Amino acid sequence: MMVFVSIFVIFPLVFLLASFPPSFEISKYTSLILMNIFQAAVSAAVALIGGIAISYFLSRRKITPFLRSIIHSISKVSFIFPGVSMALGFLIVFGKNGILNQILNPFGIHINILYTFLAVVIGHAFYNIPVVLYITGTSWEKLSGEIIEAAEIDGATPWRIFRSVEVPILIPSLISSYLMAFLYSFTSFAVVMTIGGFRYRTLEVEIYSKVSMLDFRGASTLTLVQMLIVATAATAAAILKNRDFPSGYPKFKEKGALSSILAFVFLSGILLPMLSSLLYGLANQNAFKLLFERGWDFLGMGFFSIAFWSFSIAIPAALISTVVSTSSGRASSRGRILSGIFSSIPTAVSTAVLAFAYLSVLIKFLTEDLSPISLVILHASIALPMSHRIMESGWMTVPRYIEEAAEIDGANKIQTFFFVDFPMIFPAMIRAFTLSIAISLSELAGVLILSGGKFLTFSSAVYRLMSSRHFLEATALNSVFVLIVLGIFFLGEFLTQIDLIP
Amino acid sequence: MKRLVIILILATVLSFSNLVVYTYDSMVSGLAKDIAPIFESLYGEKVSFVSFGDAGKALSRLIIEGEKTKADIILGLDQNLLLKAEKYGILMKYKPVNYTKIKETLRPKEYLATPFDYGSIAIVYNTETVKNPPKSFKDLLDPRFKRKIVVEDPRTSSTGLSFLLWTVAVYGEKFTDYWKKLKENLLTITSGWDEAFEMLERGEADIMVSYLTDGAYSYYYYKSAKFLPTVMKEGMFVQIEYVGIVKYTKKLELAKRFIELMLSDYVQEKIPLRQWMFPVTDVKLPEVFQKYVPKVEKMLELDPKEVSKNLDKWISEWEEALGM
Repeated sequence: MMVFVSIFVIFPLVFLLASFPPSFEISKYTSLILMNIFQAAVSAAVALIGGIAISYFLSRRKITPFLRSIIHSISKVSFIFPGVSMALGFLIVFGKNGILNQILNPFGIHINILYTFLAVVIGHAFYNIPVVLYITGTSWEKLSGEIIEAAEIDGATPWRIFRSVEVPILIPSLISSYLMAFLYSFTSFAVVMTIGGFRYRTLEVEIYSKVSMLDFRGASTLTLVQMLIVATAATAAAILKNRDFPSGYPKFKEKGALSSILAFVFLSGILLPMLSSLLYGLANQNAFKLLFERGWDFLGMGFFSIAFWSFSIAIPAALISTVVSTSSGRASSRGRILSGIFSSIPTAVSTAVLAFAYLSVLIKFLTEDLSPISLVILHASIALPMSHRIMESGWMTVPRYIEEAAEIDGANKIQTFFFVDFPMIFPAMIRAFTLSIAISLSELAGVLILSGGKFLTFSSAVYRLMSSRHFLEATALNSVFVLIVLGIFFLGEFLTQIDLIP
Repeated sequence: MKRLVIILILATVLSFSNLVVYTYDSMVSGLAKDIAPIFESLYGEKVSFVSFGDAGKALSRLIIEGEKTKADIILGLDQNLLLKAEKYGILMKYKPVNYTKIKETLRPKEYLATPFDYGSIAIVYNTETVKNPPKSFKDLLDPRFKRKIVVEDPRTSSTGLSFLLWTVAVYGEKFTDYWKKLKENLLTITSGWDEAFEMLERGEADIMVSYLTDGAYSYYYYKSAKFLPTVMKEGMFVQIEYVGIVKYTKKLELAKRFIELMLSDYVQEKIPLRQWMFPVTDVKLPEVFQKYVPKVEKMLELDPKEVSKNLDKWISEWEEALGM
């Protein structure tokens, strides 16, 4: 992990900043930076409210296991849902002639929010609610019921318990989830490119624009600013994430209509764009007809070429990410702190920045023909923090004494790994691998910067189509793309159920 | 893994063994489809069109790649992007054999690149949603157009750059004052023409910066006048598109043939209905052009030397006015 991150993350960044020294005249970017921070702060706040509503609903309302598993699945799916597909979903739902307006127009209501601050906040909030759910949800469900009961005996109302007992205990995970939602909103690319307009662009989008316009010095300046902000937020989130809290048996209640209504509203907000994105192309016969008649022609390549490029990058990237994180996860689980620290470094660097750094290295030392390989490494790097976390948890399930027993029986390290460790960490490896594939397939900024238009992946092909008078074709290709990503996700979920332990 | 790396490199190399043309989106889905087969049948070589979204981005890519580029030709630079190409010295001078076929007023003096089409940029509106279209730059500032106009980014789009220069031609040094007011009516700024037209067609925007021939396009394809250009009383602004040979080409003879092909009657006759621009040679125009392209009384021009001298300054001022 340390070698990988040093060579493929730290070195290119240092090289980039040395090659194009940032200018310290940041006054011309002040309004852009402040707007980016403000937008991310508000988006994360709305995501936090939505996440709390759903977490509270899940942890305190007695609901059927089926409904609970559906909500968990929605949350997991939206985690891996491609940004460009989500953005397309927002266009379909919130557009001037979108689904929402078609429903509301008969009542004399017309919504026109695309390219406004509200659109960006809604887009990011709904996209990031699952992040909040992921971090706070499990904490909340595990929060000891004894504490709640003690408060009830003392005569506290549910609101008082929520305010004075539950929230203070969960504050570290709430702040941590807020900071993660802030980070994702702050470095958002596809959503901002599609529905943000020029007023609400992020530093991530601006860095991409500056690179496209050859303003490397400007891009480098923004890179430094972005890295400082992102690193601060990421470090704070990481410190707060692992705080302990009193856990025990869950505490369910029968009442609480408000949390149910809020949970329903926010879940609909997540589901509607996702379902629209998935189904719009499938429901429109013309979309596929046009995709075959003129879409492939326009893109200059057909479905199989796009699939070839997408998976030629995603599979090796996922393999690298899984192998590196299997090693680093083991080190972390055995108490080696440095592995954990190095694994989180890519979180503090945005994709556009890293792609920009790779481009500068390729131009200087190598050739742009290596851009597909550089994308493999880029995608492996951005998947590392997530796969490291998964593998670290996976290794936690391997008791040290079993390894020691195998060693006493004469097994060497390789034998111990394959016959003792591997069966136990296999589910985590599958999860890390499939999640890394999904991350690679969904990534857009890096592909736009590094591919140079010479090849397309699913996400860049959908983006090219939707921004160039081929909207229907984009919806058709997007439906297939989303089905592929969902297929990989559910295959991963299925494979993790396989028990390799004899 | 090793095998995969080899496959990836081979795939990249193989895909660029032909004449490579860097260009913009609508060229690939339009005129390129006519050029590719005729070029192949005439010269026995394939031609690959690689798009980067818009012409500005294609040029940027070429500059980034420098001598390592695989491009032999860059197609679609307008007179303003040509200045940038000249500044970076990435084009090879070439005087076409068919030079004299080019209309006299359009003939380049430096031979840095060859014009292949031209047309006036225009404000185009959706006739279903805009009943009383703007007829002047002042009209565009009317509050009734608040968040209804989409323009292209002059830093990445040749159409956007022409529009910026159009405002300079109208307002001179005070063009930033105009943009500060226009900002209120802008829905968004797109990186290229295609993205803006997509928004007009989808009904997200009502007005955009496009071309004078858009009405003819609308009649030709939809037999309706859904999108019409409006002739601005301050005068219109001409955009000329060029094709140039990349200095680093290793297929010079083939590249020269490509330039000649662009000036051939075959391609020039295709220009109106593919590019929706005017041909640079005297070929017959289709009926729809004669009927539906509005006549322009006044054309505005900027001295190329002035543009060359001030372009970077004007773009910085524009960025400041728009908070970009």
